[in-house]
Amino acid sequence: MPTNWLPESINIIGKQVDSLFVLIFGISLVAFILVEFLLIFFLIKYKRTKQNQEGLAVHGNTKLEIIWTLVPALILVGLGIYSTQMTYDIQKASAADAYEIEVIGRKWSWEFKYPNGASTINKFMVPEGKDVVLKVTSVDVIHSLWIPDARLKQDAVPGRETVIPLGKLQGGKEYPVICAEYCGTAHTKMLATMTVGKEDEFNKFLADAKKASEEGPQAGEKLAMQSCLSCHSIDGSKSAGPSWKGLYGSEKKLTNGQMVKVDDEYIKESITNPGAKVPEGYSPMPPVAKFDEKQLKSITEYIKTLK
Amino acid sequence: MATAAVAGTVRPKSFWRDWVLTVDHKKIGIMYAVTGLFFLIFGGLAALAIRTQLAMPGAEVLKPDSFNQFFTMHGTIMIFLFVIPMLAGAFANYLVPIMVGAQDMAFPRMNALSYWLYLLGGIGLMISPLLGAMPDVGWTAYPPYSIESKGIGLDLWVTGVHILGLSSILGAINTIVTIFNMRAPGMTLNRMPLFVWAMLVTSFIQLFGVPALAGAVTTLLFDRHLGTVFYSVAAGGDPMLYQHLFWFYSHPAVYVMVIPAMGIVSEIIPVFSRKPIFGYHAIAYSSVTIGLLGFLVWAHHMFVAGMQVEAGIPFMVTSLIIAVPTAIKIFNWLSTLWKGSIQFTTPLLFSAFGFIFLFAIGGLSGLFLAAVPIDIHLHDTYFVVGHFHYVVFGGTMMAIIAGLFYWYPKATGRMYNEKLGIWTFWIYFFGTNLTFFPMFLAGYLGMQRRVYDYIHTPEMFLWNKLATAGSFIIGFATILVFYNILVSLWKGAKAEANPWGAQTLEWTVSSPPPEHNFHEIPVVTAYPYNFGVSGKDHKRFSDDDAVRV
Ligand code: HEM
Ligand SMILES: [Cu+2]
Repeated sequence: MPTNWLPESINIIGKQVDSLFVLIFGISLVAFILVEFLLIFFLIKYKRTKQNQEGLAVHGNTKLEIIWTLVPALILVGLGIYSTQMTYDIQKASAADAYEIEVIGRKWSWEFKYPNGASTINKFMVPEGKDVVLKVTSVDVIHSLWIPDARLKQDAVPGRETVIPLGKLQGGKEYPVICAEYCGTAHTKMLATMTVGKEDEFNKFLADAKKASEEGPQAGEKLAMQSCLSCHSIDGSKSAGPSWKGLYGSEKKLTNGQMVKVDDEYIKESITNPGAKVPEGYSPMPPVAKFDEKQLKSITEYIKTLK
Repeated sequence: MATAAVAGTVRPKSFWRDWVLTVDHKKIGIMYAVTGLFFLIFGGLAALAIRTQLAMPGAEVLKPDSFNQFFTMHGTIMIFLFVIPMLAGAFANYLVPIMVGAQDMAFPRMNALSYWLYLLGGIGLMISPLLGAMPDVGWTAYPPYSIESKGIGLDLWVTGVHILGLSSILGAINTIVTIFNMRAPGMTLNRMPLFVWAMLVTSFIQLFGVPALAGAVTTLLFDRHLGTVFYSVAAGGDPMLYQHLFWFYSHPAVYVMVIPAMGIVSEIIPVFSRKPIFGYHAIAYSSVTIGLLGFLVWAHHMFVAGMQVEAGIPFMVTSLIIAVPTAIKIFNWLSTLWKGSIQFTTPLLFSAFGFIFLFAIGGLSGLFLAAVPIDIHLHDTYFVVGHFHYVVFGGTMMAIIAGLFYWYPKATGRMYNEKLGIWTFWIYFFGTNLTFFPMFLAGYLGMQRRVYDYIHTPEMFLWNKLATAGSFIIGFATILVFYNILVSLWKGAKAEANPWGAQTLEWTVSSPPPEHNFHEIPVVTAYPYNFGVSGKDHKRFSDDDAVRV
C-alpha cells in the first residue's frame, strides 16, 4: 500500500512503521465503514413508524456470534504476529558497529556527545548513510527524545540508558527533535534540531564542535550548567546568587559598600576566591569546582552572551 | 426535587435530615450526580482555558506554569471527580439496588460515608487553586518530577486521591455485596439488567486496582516528605516502579469509565428499539472478560519508558485481544437495532449515534497505539489525546448524558425537553468530531502533548484552530444540558411511572420512587428485555439457562 501521504520518513524503521500504520489504517477503515454504515442504515431503515411499532423478538444467534468473535480475533492475531516481527526488527536494528551518540536530557535542553569528546547543545548532526545509535539518559527528571521524521522515541530516564536505533539516515533538511515526556515549566521549549551531514560536512561539524566544547561560550554554558546554574538564573529571576542576565558590564554594590564593575577580572575573582567581593544582599558563594584558565574564560564568554 | 408522599410519612423532613443525614441510596445517588456535574463545570472550564491558549501559536492566555497547572487540574477533575464518581457513584447508587429489587444498598451508612469521603477528597483536590498552589504534574504525577515539584498543591492532590480511593473501595464493596446478597426472589444472575452486570465487574476492578494506586501515591508522598527513596535514582530507587503501580490501577480505571457506560447503552438501546438485547450473555460475559484482561495491559503505557522494546510484546498481544470483547458488544448493539422499531429520543441518539459511532473511532485508534512499533512514534503525542478523548468524551461522556436523560423522569418525576435534547445531541456530535479528530493528525505530524505552544511546526496551526473552535461548541452543548436539566425540574411535564415502556424494575414503581423503593418486594419471573413480536426465537432465552446463585 502506498504510504506517500504521510510525511516522508528518513530511515528504514520509519518506512516500516508507516507501512504498519497504513495496514492498520486499512483494517480499521473497513471496520469503521462497516460499523458506521450498519449503524446509520439500521437507524434510518428501522425508524419507528405507524406500521413498525414493535421490533422482532430475536434474542441472539449463536452461529453469527461465533463468527463475529472469531473473525476479529483472527485479524488481530495476524496483526499481532506482524507487529511482533517488526518489534524484533527494531530491537535488532542497532548494528554492532553503529556510530554512537550520547544524548543527555536536562531541564530544558538536549546535550549530544560524540565519540571524539565534542559535545553540542540542542543541535546535532549525524553522518549520512552510517548506522547511528543514540544512547539516551537524563540528569534530572524523565524526558523523552522524539524524532518524528524517524518515527522513533525513547524516554530519557535518570539512572538508565535507553537506546534509539536510528539506522542509516538520508535527508537534507533540519529535523525537529522534541521532548515528548512532560518535564515541567519549559517542556514545550525543549526542542532541538537534527541534520544529516555528508562525510566532509560531518567531519567539519565534529571538529568545530570539539573546538567549541573546549573553549568559547558554548563550553562555558555547559560548565555553568554543571556547576553554577543551580544558584544563578540566566533570565533575571532571583535565586541564591545574582542573576547572570545583563550581568557583564553592570555596576554592582558590594557588601562593604564599594562599587565594582563586572568585568573578566571580577568574574574570575568571584569564582576562584568567592569571599573577596560579595555583592550586597547575598552571602558568599560556596566553593565550586576548580576551573583552569581556559574554562574560566569560557564561562566569562558565556556570561557575556547573556544580555 | 419532589418527594413523593408515601403512606406513613408524617411531616416533611428538614433539608438537613432529608439530604445531609440521608442513607437512602437514591438520594445519595442524586447527591453524587449533582456534585459530579458541579465538578464537571470546573474541569470543562480548565479544558476551555487550555484550548484557548492553543488557539493561536504564540498565544499568551496562560503562562507556561499556569498552563501546566490547568491541564493537571483538567485531567484530574475529569477522571477522579467527574467520570468515575458519576458512573460508579451516581448511576450505580441510584440504579443497582432498585434494578435488582432491593430496598437499599447492603450497607446504607457506609454508602453515605462513601459520598462524604468523595466530597472531602474533591474539596482536597479543588482547594489548591484557592491556596494559589495548584499541582502541575499532570494527572499521572510521574516521579522524579512530582517529587521535585514544590508546593502544598501536590500534597493535597495525593491526599485527595487517597480519600477518593477509599471512597471508591467502600462503594465497590457495597455494590458487590448488594448484587450478590440483596437480589429479589427470582432475580437470578441471568435476569440481571446489563447495567448491573457492568457495575459488578467495575466494582471488582476498583476493589483490586485502587490499592495499587494508593501504594503508588503513598510512596510518592513518603519520598517527598519522609526522606524515603523509592523513586530516587541516586539512592537506588527506580522511577519506573511508580509507572508500573500507577498504570496497574489506571489502565483498568479506563474500563471503570467505559464498562458502566456500555451498561447504560445496553439498557437504552433495547427499550427504544422495542427489541430484546441481542446476545445478552455475550454482552454480560464480555464485560467480565474486559475486566479480567484489563489488568494485563498496563505496560502498553510504558512501551518507550525504558523497558526493553521486546518486553512490550506480551502487553501488545493482550491489548490487541481486548479489542475482541469490545467488538462483540458493538456487533450486539448493532444487531439489536436490526429490525427494531427505533424511536429517536435523546437517550437513544446519545447511545446509538453518540456512543457507538464515536467510541468505534476511539477503539479503532487504540489499535494503532497497541502496536509497539507505531506506539514508539505516537506515545505522548496528540494522537493519544485524540484517542482517549474519543473514548472518554465521545464514548463515556455521551453515555453519561444518555443515562442522565433516560433516568431523569424516574429520578425527578418530570420529563425533560425532548426537542432541546435532540438539538443538544447534534451540537455535541459535531463539536466532538471537530475538537478531537484534528488531534490525530497533529499527533502523527509531530505535536507532543502537554505543550502550551507549537512553534516548531507550522503545520499544526490549522488543526489546533479547528480543535479550539470545536471545544467551544462542546462547551455550548454542555450549557444546554444543564439548562434542560434545571428548567425541566420546574417546567417539565409530570412523568409517569414508566414513560418509556421499559421492563427493568425501577420502572415498576412511581416516579420518583418511594422511600424504600418497593412496598412489596417484587418477584421476578423473566429477564428484562422481553420486547418485540413475531419472534421465532423466543426459546433461546428460556429460564432453563438461568444460573442460580
Ligand atoms: C470540552 C471537552 C474537552 C476538551 C476540549 C478537552 C481538551 C483537552 C486538552 C487540550 C488536553 C491537554 C492535552 C495535553 O496537552 O496533553 C486534555 C487532557 C486531558 N483530558 Fe480533556 N478535554 C475535554 C474533556 C475531557 C473529559 C470529559 C475527560 C474525561 C475523562 C478528559 C480527560 C482528560 C485527561 C485525562 C487529560 C490528560 C491530562 C494530563 O495530560 O495530565 N477530558 N483535554
Ligand atoms: Cu523534557
